Amino acid sequence: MSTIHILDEIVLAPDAIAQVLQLLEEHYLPGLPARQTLSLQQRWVSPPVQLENQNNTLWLLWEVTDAYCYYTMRGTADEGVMRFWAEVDQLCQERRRHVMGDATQPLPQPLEDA
Amino acid sequence: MSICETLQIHLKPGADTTQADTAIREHITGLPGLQSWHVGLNLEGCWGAGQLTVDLLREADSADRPIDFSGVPGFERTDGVQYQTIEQGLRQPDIQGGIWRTLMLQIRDGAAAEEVAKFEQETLGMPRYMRGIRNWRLGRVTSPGTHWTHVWQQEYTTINDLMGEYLLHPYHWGWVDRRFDPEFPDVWVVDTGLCHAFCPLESTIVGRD
Repeated sequence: MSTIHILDEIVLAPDAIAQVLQLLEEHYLPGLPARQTLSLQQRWVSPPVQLENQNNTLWLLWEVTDAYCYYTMRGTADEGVMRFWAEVDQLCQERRRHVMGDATQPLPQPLEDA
Repeated sequence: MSICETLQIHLKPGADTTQADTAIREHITGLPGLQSWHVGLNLEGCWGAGQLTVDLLREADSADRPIDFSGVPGFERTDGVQYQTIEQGLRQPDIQGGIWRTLMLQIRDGAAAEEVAKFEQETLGMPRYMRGIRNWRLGRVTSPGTHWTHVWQQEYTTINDLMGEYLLHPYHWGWVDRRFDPEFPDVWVVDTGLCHAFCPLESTIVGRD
């Protein structure tokens, strides 16, 4: 089993970026030790410039060691985690989450005789 | 017409599960309107479940009368549903001595019908990726008085197929699990309270019904 990455895609006004990052620091990241291998790898923004009347996208890249740790992450998402996302949802326009694997590895396929 | 029913039997703390198992089998043997039944002692690792899983195939004209388990030693309560099969599959109808897994779940209030339909199809797609799911059935709950909306059942040859291939396959954690995860804002449709139960399987339940 290989490392699993989780990518949060948060579309928001440029002036909301700092607020979301502050919420992240204050309410989400302190809970990570209880979620074992879950770690925040990157915080990106695109485009890397503030445009007039346009949103930016904040990308949060997370990592867990393997599928067992993925379920640990799932099982340790407490009310604080949900409060964090509820507050983020008040600040953003839209949000999606993606689960990602290593693109160099062959993708599991449907069984031929399924 | 026959009605499928699955029940979790919750016992009082400290109750003798083997004694309850025997009593349930004795109680339901020969009950009128019962076409077939299966009773299994739940194994360690279940959650939101009782101590035993009971599956019944009942004749429709008597299926609205609940079976009374109050005489079972240590009995506390039942948590059960009747359901209509959406789709089922059989790879190994002659399976003997395997594992029977039952997941009862509740679709969240307000979940979009389109997303619920996708959840159902994604769940039914699991056997196409996992050879260890030997037989399976997804059902919509039809009985009143319960918060559960769906029942997802599978038959495995060994416990390793459930705890290994099923849980660790990317189709599970990287695809279907999004539907159960509140951190996914756009696709989360299943309430976090689940009943996950698995017990020894004597012979196929899906193929029998």
